[in-house]
Amino acid sequence: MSKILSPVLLLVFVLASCKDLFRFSPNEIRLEESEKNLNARNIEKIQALPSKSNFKVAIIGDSQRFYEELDDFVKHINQRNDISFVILNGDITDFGLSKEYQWVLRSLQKLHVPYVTVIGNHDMLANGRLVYKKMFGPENFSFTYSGTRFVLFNSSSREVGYNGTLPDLDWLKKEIESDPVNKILPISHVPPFSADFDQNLSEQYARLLEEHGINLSVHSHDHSFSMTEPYHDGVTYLVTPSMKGRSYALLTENSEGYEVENVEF
Amino acid sequence: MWSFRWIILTGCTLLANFSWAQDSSRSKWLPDYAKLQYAGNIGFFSVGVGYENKKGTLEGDFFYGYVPESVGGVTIHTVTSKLNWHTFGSCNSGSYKIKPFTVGVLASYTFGKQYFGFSPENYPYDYYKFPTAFHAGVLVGGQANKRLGGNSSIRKIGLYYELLTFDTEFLSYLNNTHALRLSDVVSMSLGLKLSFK
Repeated sequence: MSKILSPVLLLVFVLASCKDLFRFSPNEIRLEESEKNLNARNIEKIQALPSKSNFKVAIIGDSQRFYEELDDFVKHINQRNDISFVILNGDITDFGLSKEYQWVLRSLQKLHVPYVTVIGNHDMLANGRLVYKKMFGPENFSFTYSGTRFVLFNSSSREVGYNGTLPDLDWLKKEIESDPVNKILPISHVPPFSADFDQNLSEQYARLLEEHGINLSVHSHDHSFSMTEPYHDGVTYLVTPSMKGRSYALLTENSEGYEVENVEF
Repeated sequence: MWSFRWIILTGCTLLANFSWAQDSSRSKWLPDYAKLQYAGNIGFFSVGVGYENKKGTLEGDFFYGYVPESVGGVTIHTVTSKLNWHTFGSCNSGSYKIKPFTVGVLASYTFGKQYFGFSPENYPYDYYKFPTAFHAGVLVGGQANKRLGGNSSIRKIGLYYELLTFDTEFLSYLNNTHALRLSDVVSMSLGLKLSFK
C-alpha cells in the first residue's frame, strides 16, 4: 500500500501548493497581499502626482462580466498620456465573487496610471461587501487632488432594504463641510433619481449639493451616458457609460468646474 | 441553523453505524460508501455519503462541506448533491479497479443570510438573474479502488480526482475567451472513498 500511497501523497502535496487549482467555495475570499487595501495605495500614488490645473480623469462604471471590453479600456487609457487617473464607479463585478474581483483587478493592475474603485450594487452580492472591504477598503472615502476633493461613497440603498444607512448622508455632509477650500466632486454608483437609491434620501441629497454650491454629481448604473439637471437646481448629474458600451466619461477640470466628454474606445 | 445541525447529526449517526455495519446486518438503506473530499468548490473539506448501482457505474453523493474562516476568509457551510457516471474504460487488475473517465453534475447550496435562493424582497422580479446561494457545476474525473481483504466493514478504499467548473464562472469564460483563461474557471478536487459493500 505504501508503494502506491507515497507517490500519491507526493502528488497531493505538489498539487495542493497550487493555490488556484484548489478552490473551496465560489464564496471564499482568498486574496494575495498585493490584492489588498488598493484604494489607499492608489490614493497615495495620486497624491504623489504633480499638481496640475486642467487635469483629466476617466470615469467608467459597470465592468461586471465585460472582461474583454475592460482589457480594451485599459489599453486605450495606456495609449493616452493625458489622463491623471481612472475611477471605476461601481458594479466592478456581476455576482460579488472574489474571483470576479480578482479578474477585474488583473486588468486594472495593467493600467499605467492610478485607479480607485467605488462599490456598486452587484458588488454587494453574497460576500461582495467583505471582498470590497479587503481589496479596496472603506466604502465611503475621499481624497484631494489639484484643488478637487473627490468624495466617493456607496449609494446602493436597495441592497440594504432602504434602511436609511445608504447613502450615509451624515458622512457626506461632514465630508463636504470639512473642506471649504477645494471643489467637491461627489461620486457614487447609483444616481439619486434611480429607484435603487433610497427615495426618502434623494431630495435631501440634492439639497445638500445645491446648498453647498456643488455643480456636478457623478454616477453610473444606468449603462448609458447622460447629463441632466433632474432637480432644476443648477446641479448637473452625470451618468457615465458602462464598460459594455465601450465608452467612458472624461472629466477635464477647469476654473468653472469640469468639462465632460463621452469618449469611445 | 437548525437544518445545518440536523445535517451534521444525521451524518454522524450514519458514520457511526458504519463501524459495525457488516454485510449480513446491513440495512439496504445504509449508504454504500462515505467520501472525504478536499477542495472542489464545495468546501475546504467535505464529508459525504452515497449510493451506487450494482455495476458501480453510477454514484449519487450527498456532501456537507466546511470552509474555516482562516482558510476561506469567511466561514462557509455548504451542502452538495453530486451525480457521477463512470463512463467507459473501467478495468480490473487483481484487487484494483480503475474507473478512468468519470463525468458528473453537482448542485450546491450555501447557508447564510448574505446568500439568496430566489430574488428576495426589495427586488423587482428577475433583478438579479442568478441565485447566490445555489451553484451548479459539471465535472470530469477518475477513480481508483482497491478491494481490501479481511472482514473489515470497509470493503474497498478508493481515491478520486475531479476537474470542475460552475455556472457563473464558466459563463464568464464563455463570454470572454480572450480575457479569461480556462484555468481561471476550472478547479480540482481530490477525494477518498470508503466503500461498505
